[in-house]
Amino acid sequence: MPESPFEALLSQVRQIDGFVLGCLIDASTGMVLGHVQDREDLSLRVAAAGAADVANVISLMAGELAANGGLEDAIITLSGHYHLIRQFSPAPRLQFLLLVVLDRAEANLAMAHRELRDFDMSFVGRPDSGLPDRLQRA
Amino acid sequence: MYFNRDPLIVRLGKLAESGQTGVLRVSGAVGGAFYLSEGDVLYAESKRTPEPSKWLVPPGGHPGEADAARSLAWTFAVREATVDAALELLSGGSRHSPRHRFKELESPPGDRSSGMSFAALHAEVTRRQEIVKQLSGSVTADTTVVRNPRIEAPGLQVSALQWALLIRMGDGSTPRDLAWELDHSVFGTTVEVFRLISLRLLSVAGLAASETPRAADAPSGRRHDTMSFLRAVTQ
Repeated sequence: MPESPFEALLSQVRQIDGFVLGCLIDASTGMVLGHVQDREDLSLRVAAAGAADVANVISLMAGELAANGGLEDAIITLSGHYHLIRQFSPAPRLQFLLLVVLDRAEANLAMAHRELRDFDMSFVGRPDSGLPDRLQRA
Repeated sequence: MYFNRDPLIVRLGKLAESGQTGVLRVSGAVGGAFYLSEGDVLYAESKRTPEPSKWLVPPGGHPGEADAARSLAWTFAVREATVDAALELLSGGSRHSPRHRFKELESPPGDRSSGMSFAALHAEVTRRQEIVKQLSGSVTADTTVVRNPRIEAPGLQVSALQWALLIRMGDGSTPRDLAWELDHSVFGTTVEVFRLISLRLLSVAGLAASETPRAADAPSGRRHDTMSFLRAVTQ
């Protein structure tokens, strides 16, 4: 099976120090679209499902609070790992979650957070949604 | 033998294992097809789930960042439609496994980069079946839902997709009706409708918002207030 565009996209976050696992999840259904993993000691399915649940709960909370904005990111600190969960929309109509798991002993949380934000921001304003030109958003 | 008598999931698994290329057609009310290439499932379709949005343009011919975004949108739409159809076909409501037959094709439709291995497709369908079970106490794809005329909260926030669902809600719509209208997956729409029920913006037709049953966990009989993706992969 050739590399999917999801895996190609994720290869860019593999450079973050302490990288253990990165995966792209559809925020609506919780489906894992692609993943890259440097160590196999972490269950991808459990980490992804947990991230989707966290995002779902925060979205419900933001909905109830009428918080004037949704989830941007969430950081979960475990004794051995950081789980960084970021709402990620590489094109209009696509609402993904980007989960990056880092080894605490090797990672710099502030730097990793910034790198992930910069990665996300590099897609902001991307004009092409895959829709025909006459249906593209202004 | 024209029709194979194996259960559909067994037949699909055998075709994948032997690296077949072609189409497995499924007959009956929940009919459809699986398109395979060298054992991978390139695409699936069913009569009861929408195809990828007709407005999407397949990538190609426009190298650069714009094409990367097109490629993501297209690959996601094809994969979601495939899993949605597979969930429908492999969860068939009838007591009897649907009839199916396989035909070899030289070049089945679909792109290998948006395809899935049989193992990945089966795991995802199983996960979705668990979530459907969790939601079944509140809503299914064919439950009629209505907008609540009175909103008790001073303010609520919804996503763009949830808003699109709310403004299309007629006197009585089902998640499946709305999915067809939006060219969105039936499963994804059902999950979003469940979220709107949780926000008390929708309720099941014939029940007031306060009477809408919460999602039930059928196997243990315990009741849960929320859908859990984690429970779907750990149980």
